[in-house]
Amino acid sequence: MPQEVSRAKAVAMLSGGLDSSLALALVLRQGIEVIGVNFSTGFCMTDHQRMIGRKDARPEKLRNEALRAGADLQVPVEIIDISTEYMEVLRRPRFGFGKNLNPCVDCRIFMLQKAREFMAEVGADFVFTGEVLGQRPKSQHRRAMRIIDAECGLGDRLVRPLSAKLLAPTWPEKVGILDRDQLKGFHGRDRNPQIELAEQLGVVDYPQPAGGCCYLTDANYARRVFDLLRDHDRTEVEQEDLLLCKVGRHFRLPRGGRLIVGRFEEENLFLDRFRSRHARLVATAHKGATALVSLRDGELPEAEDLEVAASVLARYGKGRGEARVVVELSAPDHETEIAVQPATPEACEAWILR
Amino acid sequence: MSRAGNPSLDTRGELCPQPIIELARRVRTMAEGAVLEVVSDDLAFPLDLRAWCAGTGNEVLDLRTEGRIHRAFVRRRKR
Ligand code: SF4
Repeated sequence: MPQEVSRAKAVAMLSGGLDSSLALALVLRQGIEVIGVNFSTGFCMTDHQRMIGRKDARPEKLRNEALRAGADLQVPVEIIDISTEYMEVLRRPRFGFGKNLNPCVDCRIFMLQKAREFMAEVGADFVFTGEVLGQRPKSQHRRAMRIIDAECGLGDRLVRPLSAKLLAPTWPEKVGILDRDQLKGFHGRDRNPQIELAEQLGVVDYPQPAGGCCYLTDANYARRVFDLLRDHDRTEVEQEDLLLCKVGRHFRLPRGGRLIVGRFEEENLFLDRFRSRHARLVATAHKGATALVSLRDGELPEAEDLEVAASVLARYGKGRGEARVVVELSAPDHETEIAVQPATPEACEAWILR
Repeated sequence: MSRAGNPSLDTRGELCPQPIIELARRVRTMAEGAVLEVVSDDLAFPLDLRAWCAGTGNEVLDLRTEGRIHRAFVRRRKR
């Protein structure tokens, strides 16, 4: 009796954006079984907005797009948390940073290595991505792709269906699992070919605008992190420090201390969770923001910094028009009250990190 | 155990994407057709739960939201 040939199986690296959705649709059309994988680095902006949980946030804007893309094409999606290991990528990127804090080449290598492990775990034959040659400045140039391919260990088991015709044939194409003719030869930043293909394939629901979900590419965020690195060795920076760089207004105080002031109720509540390594400031009699001042080796910053921090905090509360506002400071081993005059907008401007 | 006698998973306070990661992990250990009650206070959990089930073939038997708390019953798919 002839043996039944099992159906080929692939792992899709899925962000849920248009490109990875199209790559998924192209591969599915060839009768291949697909499992999606989505890696959580801890730097996704949507995840962060969900974490903060603003009452007026619209859930449909915060959905997980990879799960949604999988659901649309009835493909199971596994979300894998790589955030702890990812810190190492960020601390020492071998191929450096892009324009901001984005170590895109190292990031792609790491994710593809993880995808390779997942491929082995689920018994898949190859991995594919939605990458388009020449689309992104740092990681999708031919030279960067060559480095990524050499380092990730997938060899010719890595397929980029949207640019496949411009790249060397991969293993599934060579053995006839994938028909190269049905794959695409997209190149560059023009999105029109993808939009046309989406219409042809009936891929209608995808996030607009594309991409832009990674904090590491955000200039404002990068500035805060680089400022943080003035005080710390890169290897000392913790996930928590990087998380706090996403929240509130940040100030650098005259004696070098750091202050974070919440901008709205949910951010204030969020900041409240980080009291073990910070001093917390709130006005005692006036409604307003919560603030954190970083401790140095467990010690409070200098008195001058505490005064300025309290006056800046007072500025972001109902007491901003008062002559004096009392601010309560609580640190793990310390509680006190400071009476200050709220800072002027010009003074805040002088200390704020832009 | 939930009130109905089903196993339950309380992910309240867990930050996204942990609720779905934990749900997936738990469902994998369950027998086919078994039901899990899952609770979350994550804003977009209902959307993610439905999407995850649509992709994996598991079934949302019931999903209710009271205030910020979402409570769902999920049945592991039968092959
Ligand atoms: S944009 Fe962010 S997630 Fe994407 S490759 Fe660069 S660092 Fe990684």
